[in-house]
Amino acid sequence: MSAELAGLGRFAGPATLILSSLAQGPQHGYGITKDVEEFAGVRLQPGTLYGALSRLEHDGLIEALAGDGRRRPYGITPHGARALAAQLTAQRRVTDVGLRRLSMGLMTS
Amino acid sequence: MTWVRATPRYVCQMAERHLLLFVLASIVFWTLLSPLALGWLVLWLIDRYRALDKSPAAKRERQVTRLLRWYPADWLARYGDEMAVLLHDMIIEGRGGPRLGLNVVKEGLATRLAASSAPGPAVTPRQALAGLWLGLCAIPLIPQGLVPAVMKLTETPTRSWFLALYLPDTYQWPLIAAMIALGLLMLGAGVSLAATGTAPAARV
Repeated sequence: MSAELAGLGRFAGPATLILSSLAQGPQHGYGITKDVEEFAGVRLQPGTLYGALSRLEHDGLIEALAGDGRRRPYGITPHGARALAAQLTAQRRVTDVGLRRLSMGLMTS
Repeated sequence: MTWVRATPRYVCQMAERHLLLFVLASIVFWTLLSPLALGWLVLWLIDRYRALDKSPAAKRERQVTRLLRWYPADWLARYGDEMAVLLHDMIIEGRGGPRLGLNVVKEGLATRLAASSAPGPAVTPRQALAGLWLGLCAIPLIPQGLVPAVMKLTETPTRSWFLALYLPDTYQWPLIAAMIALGLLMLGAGVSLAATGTAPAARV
């Protein structure tokens, strides 16, 4: 896990999903929940979403942008993009190893 | 100080003498006044419920306001508006069930807990000393001073952990007085230190 996201503790999982959603462009809270539900099948609850958003903003991984009315969009910062890249690379490594070992195990059994 | 011993006895005598009146007053209270009060309370609650706006939008607004109360004020000042919009959207979408409520309550409490355990400004030695005096002054003043004084006046036979009551009779009052004086001195010192310790901050 990347050091930046590991520092978020229990919000590390939701933070990865939020950063992945923001990687395609700025979005507000509701947009993030819909997008995450679509690409990951995870329903982020509002308390969890805003808990993670406040931590990500505090750590400089995302930034609040000027919005229309009470909806405030968030955008990923360069620091956040680097942290997400490191996190996803680490996850891919684990995924590759796990899948390779599984396939080898299936072939031998 | 005979009145200290005489008062409880007098109260008991009055209760015995006016027992009938006391019983009658109790019956009137429990059979007449308390049902009336309860009835008035129920009517007031019904009236309040009737006065509520029962449109879906108003119900939603009340639910969102109730949920956001779990968060601390400074957090709400920053994220309250946008989270309220999200909550409205989710409730309209039919996702405003108990799962959403529990999640908001859990995260709101966690945010409050994190805010209250965040390190505050450093404590100066003067403030620490003030805290020590204010924290400890109650021990000589109340359990070792005022309580044994009351016990001596009412001639209670129990000595428990009250130091003065274990001494010969001649030394009991002087020790009680010394304990009260010590407690008051610690209280005064604590208040004085706390007042001077916060004065510069108050001027900022």
